Amino acid sequence: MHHPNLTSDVIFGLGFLYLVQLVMNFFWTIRSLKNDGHCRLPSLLGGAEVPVAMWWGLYTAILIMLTAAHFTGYSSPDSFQVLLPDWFKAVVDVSVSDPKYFFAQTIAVFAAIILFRRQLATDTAGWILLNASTLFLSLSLTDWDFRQIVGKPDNVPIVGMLFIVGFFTWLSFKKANENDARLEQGLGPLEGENNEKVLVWPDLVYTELIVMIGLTAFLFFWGVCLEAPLEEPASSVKTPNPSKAPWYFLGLQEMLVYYDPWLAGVVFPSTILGGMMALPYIDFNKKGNGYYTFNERKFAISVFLFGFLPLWVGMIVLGTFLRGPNWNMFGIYEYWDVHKLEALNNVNLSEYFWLYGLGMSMPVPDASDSFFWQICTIVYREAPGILLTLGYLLLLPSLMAMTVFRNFAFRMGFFRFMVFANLVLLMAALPAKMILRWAFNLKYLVAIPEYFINI
Amino acid sequence: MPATDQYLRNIKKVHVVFCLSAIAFALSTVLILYRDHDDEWRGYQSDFDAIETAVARNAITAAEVEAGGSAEAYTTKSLELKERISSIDSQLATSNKNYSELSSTVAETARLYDLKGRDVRFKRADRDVAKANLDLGIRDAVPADEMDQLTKAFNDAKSIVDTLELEWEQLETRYREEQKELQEITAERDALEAELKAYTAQVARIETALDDIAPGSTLKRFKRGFMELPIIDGFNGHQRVIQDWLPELKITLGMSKTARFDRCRTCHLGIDKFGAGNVPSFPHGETQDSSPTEWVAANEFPHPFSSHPRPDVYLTASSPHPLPEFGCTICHDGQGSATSFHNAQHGPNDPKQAQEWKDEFGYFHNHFWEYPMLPERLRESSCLKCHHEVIELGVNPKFGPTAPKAFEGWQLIQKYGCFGCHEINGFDGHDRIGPDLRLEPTIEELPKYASDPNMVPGKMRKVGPGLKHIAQKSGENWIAYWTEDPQRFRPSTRMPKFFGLSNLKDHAGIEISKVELAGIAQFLSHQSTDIELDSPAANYVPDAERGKESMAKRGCIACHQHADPAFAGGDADFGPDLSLTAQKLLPGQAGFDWVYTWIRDPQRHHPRSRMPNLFLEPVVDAEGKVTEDPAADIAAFLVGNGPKEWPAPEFDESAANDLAELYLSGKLLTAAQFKDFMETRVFPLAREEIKGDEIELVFDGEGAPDENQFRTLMMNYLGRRSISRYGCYGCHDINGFGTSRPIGTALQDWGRKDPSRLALEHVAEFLHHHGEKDGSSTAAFVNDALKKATADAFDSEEEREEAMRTSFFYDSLMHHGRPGFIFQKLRHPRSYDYEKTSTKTYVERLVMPKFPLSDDNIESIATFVLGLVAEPPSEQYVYTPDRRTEDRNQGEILLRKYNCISCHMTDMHEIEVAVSDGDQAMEPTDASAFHGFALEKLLEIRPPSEAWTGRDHRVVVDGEDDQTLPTMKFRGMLMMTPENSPFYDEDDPETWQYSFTTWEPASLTKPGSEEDAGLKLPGSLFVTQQSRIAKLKKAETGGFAEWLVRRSMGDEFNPKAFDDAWQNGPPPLFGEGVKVQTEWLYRFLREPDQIRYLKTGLRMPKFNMSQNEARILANYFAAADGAIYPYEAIPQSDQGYLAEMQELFSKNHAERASENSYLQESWQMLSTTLCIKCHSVGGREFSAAPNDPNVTHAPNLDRVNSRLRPDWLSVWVSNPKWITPYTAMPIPFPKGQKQYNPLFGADAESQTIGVRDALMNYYRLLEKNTEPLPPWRDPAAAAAEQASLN
Repeated sequence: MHHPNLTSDVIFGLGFLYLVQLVMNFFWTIRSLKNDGHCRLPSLLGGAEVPVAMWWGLYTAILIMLTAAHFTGYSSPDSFQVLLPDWFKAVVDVSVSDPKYFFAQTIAVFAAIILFRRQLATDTAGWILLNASTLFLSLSLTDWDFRQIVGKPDNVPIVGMLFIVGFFTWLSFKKANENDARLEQGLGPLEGENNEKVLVWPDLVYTELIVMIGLTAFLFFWGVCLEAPLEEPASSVKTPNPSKAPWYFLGLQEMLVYYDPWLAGVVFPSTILGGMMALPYIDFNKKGNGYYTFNERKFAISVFLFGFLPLWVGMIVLGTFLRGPNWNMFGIYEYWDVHKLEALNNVNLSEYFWLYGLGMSMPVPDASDSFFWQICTIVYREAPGILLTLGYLLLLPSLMAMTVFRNFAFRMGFFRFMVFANLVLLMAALPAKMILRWAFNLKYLVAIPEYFINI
Repeated sequence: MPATDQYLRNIKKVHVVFCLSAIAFALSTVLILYRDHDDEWRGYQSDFDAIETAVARNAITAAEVEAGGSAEAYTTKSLELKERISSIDSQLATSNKNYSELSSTVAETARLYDLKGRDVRFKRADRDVAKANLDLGIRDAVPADEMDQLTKAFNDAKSIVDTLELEWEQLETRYREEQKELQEITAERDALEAELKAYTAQVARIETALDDIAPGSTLKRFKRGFMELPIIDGFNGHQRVIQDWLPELKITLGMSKTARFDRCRTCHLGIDKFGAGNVPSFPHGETQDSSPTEWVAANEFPHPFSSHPRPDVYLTASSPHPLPEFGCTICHDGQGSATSFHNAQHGPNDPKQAQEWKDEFGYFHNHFWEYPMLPERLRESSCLKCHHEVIELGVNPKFGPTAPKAFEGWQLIQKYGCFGCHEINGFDGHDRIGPDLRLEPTIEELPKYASDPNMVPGKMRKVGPGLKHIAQKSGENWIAYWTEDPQRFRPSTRMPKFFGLSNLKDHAGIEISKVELAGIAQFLSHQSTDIELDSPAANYVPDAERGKESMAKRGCIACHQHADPAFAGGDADFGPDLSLTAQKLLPGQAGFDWVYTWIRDPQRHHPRSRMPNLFLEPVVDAEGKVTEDPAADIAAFLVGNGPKEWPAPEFDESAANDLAELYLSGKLLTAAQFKDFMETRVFPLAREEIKGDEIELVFDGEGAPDENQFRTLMMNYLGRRSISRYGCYGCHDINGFGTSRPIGTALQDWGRKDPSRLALEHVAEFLHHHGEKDGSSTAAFVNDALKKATADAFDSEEEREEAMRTSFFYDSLMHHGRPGFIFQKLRHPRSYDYEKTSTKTYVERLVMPKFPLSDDNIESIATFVLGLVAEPPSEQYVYTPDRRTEDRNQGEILLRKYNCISCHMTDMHEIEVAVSDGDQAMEPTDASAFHGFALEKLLEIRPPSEAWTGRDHRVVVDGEDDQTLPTMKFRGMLMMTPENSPFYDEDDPETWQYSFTTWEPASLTKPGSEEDAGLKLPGSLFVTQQSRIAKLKKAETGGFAEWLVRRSMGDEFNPKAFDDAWQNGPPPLFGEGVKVQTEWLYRFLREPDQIRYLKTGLRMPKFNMSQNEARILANYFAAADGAIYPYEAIPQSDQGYLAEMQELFSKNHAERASENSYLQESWQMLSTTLCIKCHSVGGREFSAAPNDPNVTHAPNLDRVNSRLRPDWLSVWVSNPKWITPYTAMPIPFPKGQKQYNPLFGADAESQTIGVRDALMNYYRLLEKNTEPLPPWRDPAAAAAEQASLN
C-alpha cells in the first residue's frame, strides 16, 4: 500500500505550526535586540559588527517564507518541496531502530546534559534547542509513517511530555548553574535571598484556583479537538498488534524484553517505589535542601537523572515510537510492517556453560526422581547463573564498599550502605542485562522455566 | 519571618489572569455543549418535518378540493357558513331577550354543577379512605369497639357522598333541561355549526396534525424552538433519537454478546412509513432537487428520507421481517447504536461513492468496527444468517427471488463443486449454524457415519465424473492432455485449470508440471478397475443417423449439448457437451462398448451417477431379432469418426527426480535414505509402515525393480501425490482416496475470518503490474475508472458497473478486506504467489485452480461466501418454514439437483398485457357450457388468480396516438410468437403477434368492484401484439420440452403440430400436485413405469434417487399446489358413497336400475367405444388402429385409481382442456349432449360422474367383469352402433 507523504490537509495544517514558530521567534528577535548585544560577522562577510538579533531576524524571515509556502502551496501536494530528504530519514531510522544505538544515544544525551550543563542551560541555548526540536517535528510530520505514530491521539501526550521534561530539566540546570556560581563565590543560594513567607490567600490558593480552571479548560479543548482513540471491541482471541501498555508504563513494558515478568513486572516496579521512599533515609548529604544546585549533589542528581532520563523517559519513547508490530523495532520514518521479521536467537547462560563451555549435555531433572533431587539438579544446572547473581548482589556491595564507595560506606554504616548498594545495582541491572543481551545474545542468567523463575 | 501586607504577585494582574482563565473555561464548556448538540440527525429531522409539512399542506389542498370542488370554493363556503353562524349569533344576542336570559341561567347552572362535582370527588376520596381503613381493620381483626368506630366512619362518609351525588344528579338534570330549552331557540345556528363541522372535518383533521409538525401560532412556535435548545431538548423535546431495542437479536462485540440497539430511524425517518396497500409513502428517487417541497412535488425522496422499497418483505407488520422484531442492522450490518453518518459505518458500493461520502460526510474506512454496513452489491449476504437452506431466497412463490445474488452464488458453488475442497459445514454438532454444503460420505466413510449419531452427513455429490474405471474409457495421453487445460478440449467445461497458471511459469514450474501431468495420467489409469461392459447384439448394425434422431428424442439434449446442427438451440449444460466425446475414447470396440454400457446403465459405471437410466431397451421383433437398439445407435453417433491420437506426455527425468526429492527427502525419508533409494530403487520402508501415497513406491516383485519398473512406480507415486496435493478427489471418485479430507480452507465461517489472517503477500504488486484480462494493470484500470466515474464518461451503465465492481473489490483488497481477497482469489487464484515462487519450493506453491467464472459470477459467489458467518441468531429468528413450505423448498432443490426442470415445466409463462374493451384477453369464458359440478371442482383445486394487475402500460404504436391502458396478467403457454409466426413482419415490430393459452382460471373482476366480470377458464386462447405486452416472463423450466416442440413442429407455428408435439414431449408439471396421489408419485419416482407410449419413444427415466429424496419430491408437488398430502381419502370407493350413489341412481334412472347396479352402469360407460378407442381398459390391450401414427396411445386405465386424485379426475373427465389445453383427449360427455343412450338415460353429467366412479373402483369392477371386453371394432361400425343407440 503506497501512501502519499503529503496531502493538502497536512501541508495546510503544518502552516499553522510554522506560524506558531514564526510568532515565537518574532518576539524572541525583539527580546534578543534588547538583551543580546552585538557580534562580529565572519571576515568573509565583511567582519562588521551586527546585533545578534539579526540572526534571529534571519531565521524568522525563513519561517515567514515557510509559513507562506505552506498556506499557499497546499493545493498541489505532489510537487511540494519542503520535505525531509530521504537520506536524512534513512540515517535517523538506522540510528534509532536498534536498541543498542538508541540506548547509546540516550546515554550520550544524558552525559551531554551533565557535562555541558553550563553551556546548555542558558536562555539562548534553550531557545535554540526548542527551535531545533519544533523544526524537527514540523519537518518530520511531512512523513506519512511519522505522522501515523506521532499523530495518534494516544501518543500526543508523550510528545507533550518530551517538551515538558526537556523544559524542566533545562530549568533545573539553569537555576542550579546560577546557585552553583553563587556558591562558588561564597554567596548563599538564590532561594535564600527572598525567603519571606507569603499569604495562603491569595498567593497560593488563588493561583491554584487559576491553574485548576485553566487546566480544566485545556483538557476540555483537548477532549473536543482530539477525539478519543477508540479501537475495536476488546477480544481475547484477537489482540492488537502491537499490544501496548498505557504510555506511562511503556518503560516497564520495555523491561519485559530483557527480564521475566516476575522481575520486570513485580520486583523492579516495587523496588522503584520502595527505593524512592527510602531515598531520604539513605541520603546523608545535608546540602541542596530547598534550593537548586548541581555541584553540591553531583552523585545524587546524576544517578537520579540516569534512572529518569535514559531508563524511564528514554524507554517510554522507545516503547511508544519505536516498538511496532510483533514488538519489533522500527525507525520513526519506517512503515510498521507486520511482515518484518527479526531473528531472536537468545541463549541462556547455563547453555553457554554446559553446551559450549564444557561441551556436555545439560543436566536434566529426572521426572522419576524425588522433588528434592530434581531441585538439586536444576540448581546444579543453573549454578553458574545463580552464583553470578548472588555474587552481583552480595559480593559486589562489599567490593564497592572497599573501593569506589569507601567514603559512602564509611558515612552510611553497613545497613544503609547495603540498601543503597543494592538499589544502585538493581537499577544498573537493566543496562547490564541489555548489554549482555546485545553483546552475547544472553537470554537468562538463571533459567528455571520449570518453576517460572528466570533472571 | 512574619507575612507582610504585600502580596507576592500583583493582585490586579492575577485578577486579569483569573478572568481570562474563567473566560477560557466558559468557552470550553460552551464548545462542549455545542459539539454535543451539533448532531447530523437534528438537521435530518428538521428536513423531514419540512417534508411532512409539505405533504400535509398538499393533503389539505386535496381535502379542500374534495370537499368543495376547488380550494377557493371551499374557503368561500366555509366562510359563508361561519358568517351565517355569527349573524344568527348577533341576531340572537340583540333581538332575543329570552335567549340572553336563558343562556346566563345555563351558564350559572353549569358553574354550580362543576362546583358540586368538586365536592363529590373530595368526599368520595374521604369515603374511600374510610372503606380502606375498615378493610384493614377486618384483616387485622381489631377489637370490636374500634371496629364499630371504623364502620361508623365509613357509613358516615358514605351517606355524605350519597347525598352529594344525588344533588349533583339533580343539577345535571336541571342543566340538561335548561339547555334543551336554549337549543330550541338556537336550533338554526346549531344545525349550521354541525354542517360546518362536517364540511371542514377532513381539513381540520389534517390541520391538527400539521399543527404538531409546523405550529401555526407564535407561542407554539416559540415553545417548539425553545424545546430544541441544548439541555432543554432533553426534557421531551420533539427532536430525539429514535431507537429500536432488540434484546433477542444479540450482537457480538469482542468477547460479549449484547442486545442490539438500532438508532437508524433517527435519520431514516420515512423508512417505515407506508400507505394503504403497503405502498411506500416516500418512494426513493435519486433526485437532484434539494428542497423538501420539490421532493414532495416530484414524489421522489432521497436518502435518508425515503421509505423501504420492499414493504411486502421487510418492516411492515404483515411482512416476515417486522421492524420491531428485526430492526435494521441484523440485515444491513453497521453500527446500529451510532447516530452519525460516519459512525453508523455506511458501506460505499464503490470507491467513487466513498469519495462522494468523504466529501459530504467525512466518510473514511474504519477497520476497527467489525461489522461495517454491507455495500449494496454484497447486501444479500446477510440473508444467510437465518436462511440456511438458501432456496427460498431464490425461488419463492410469494415474494419472488428476494436475494437473487446470494442464491446465484449458492448455485454456482454447487455447479462448480467448491465444497469438494472447501467444506461448508452447516452444523455444529446437531445445531444448524448456516448453509450446509458438504460432500456426501463416500462408501468408505459410511460406517463412520453409521456409528456416530452426532455426525450429520453431507448431501452433495461430487461434481466431476467418477474415475474409478477411467482406463476403460480413455487413454493416458488424453488424460494428460485434458488435465493440462480442460477448456482447450471442451470450452464449456466446469473443470478448472490447474496448470500453466501464473505461479507455474518459471522453469521449475513448467518442467515439474509436465511430470505431474504424466504422473496423474499414469496413476489414474493404474488405479482404474474394470467393470463389465455390454455390447449390442452380435448381428446388430448400429445406425448413427438413427442414433442422432434418438439422441434428440430420447431426452439426451435435456442435459447435454452437441455441436451437430441437428441439436441447434439445445443449450442445456447440466451434463457435458458431447460434441467431442469420440475423441477422448479408447479406439475400436472398447470405446464403443464403454459408451454403449454407460448409456444403457449409468449406475454400473458410477453407483451415484446423476445420469438417469433412460430405458433405452433394444426393440426385438417376434423372432427375437433386435430391430432397433437406440443405445447402440446413439453410441454409434457419438463415436462417429472415432477417437483421436493424443500426444504422449513428455517430461524431463531430472524434473521427476526433483519432484520426488521435494516430496520425500527430509520428510518421510531422510536425505541420505532418499539418495540411497534412488540408487538401489528399494524403498526403505515396508508396506505396513506407510500410511500415505508412498505406498505406490513399494515394489511387489522379487528383489529390486528394474529401471522401467522403477520409473513406473515412481510415476504412479508422483501422480498419486499430485492428486493428493491438488485434491482431485474432491470432485472425482478415485480408488484409494475414499477417506481423504478436502484440502481447502473450510468456509462455514469465512465471512468472519480475521482479515489479518488473509495471506495477501505481494498481490498489491501483482495488481500494480497485471490483473486485467488482457494482462494490463488493475491498479491503472481502477485509477482510470475512478476518473471516468468522476467525469461521468462511461458509455453504458453496464460498463460503469463492470468498472465500479473491479474498483470496489480492488479497493477492498487494498484495505485488506475479505471481499477483495475472495474476488481476487477467484479471478487470479495464483496471484497471491506473485514474486513468491523464488522462495517457495514447487510443492509449497498455491494450488487453487482457475475456474471459468465471469466477474459477475465471482461477485455472486463472494456474496454467498461472505454471508457464511456461523453466527446463527436465536432460534426464533432462524427461518423455519412450516412443513408444507419446507417440502416445497426441499423439492425445489431436488428439481435442480436432478435437472427435472429441463424436461418438465413447473412454472408457466407469464404474460402481462395492456387491454382495452373488446380485447380477447378480457373476454370471460362462457361457464354455462360446462358441467357445474366440474367447474366447482376446478375452482376448488385451482383457485382463480387475479387478472387485473392495477398497473398501467403505455402502448406506443407508430402513427397512432399513444395510449395508457390497464394491464392484465395470465399464466399459461406462449404459442405463436414472432419467431414462429407466419405473419412475422420485420418492419413493424409493434404489431408482432403473440398467441397465448391460459393454464389456470383467472378472475376478470376488478379488485374492489361489485360487478362480477366472470372468469377466464384455463385453455382460453387470446392473441395480442408486441406493443401491448407490458411484461413477458418466460418460464425458467422445461427448456428441453420446448426445444423438442420447436424441433418437431418446425419453424412455423401450426396449432395441430404444436399440440401433437406437446403430446409427445415431457408434460408440464404445472398443477401436478392436485393431479396425482402423493403415494403413487413416490413409487413412480423410485421405479417409473411407462404410462404413455409416445411417438418420440421418450419416457420417464429412472433417477438415482434416495428414498428420502423421492419422498420429498413427491411431497413437493402436493405442497406447491396446496393439495392434501401425504395421505388423502378416496371417498368414491367408500361403501357409504357407493350406496348413496346407488340410491340416487335408482331414483333418477329407475329404468336402468332394474338392469344394472350403479357401478355396473358406470363400467359399461367406461367400456363404451369412446374410452377404449385410446385407452387400454379391462385387460384388453389397446390396439386401436395399431398402425395409425396419428392415434395417440393414451395411458392404460388400470392405474388410475391409485394414481389420480378423484377431484382432479372429475375435472379431467369433464373437460381435459382445462387441465392440459393441448391434450388429444376430447370432452367425452359435453354438457347437453345426449349420447350413449340408454346409459344413465344419456345424461352427460351422470355419465361423467359415473366414469369417474368406475375408474376409482376399477379393480372392484374387474373382479365382477371377468369376461374380456369385446375386441376393438372399426370406427365406422362403432359409429353405426352409436347411431342405433341414439
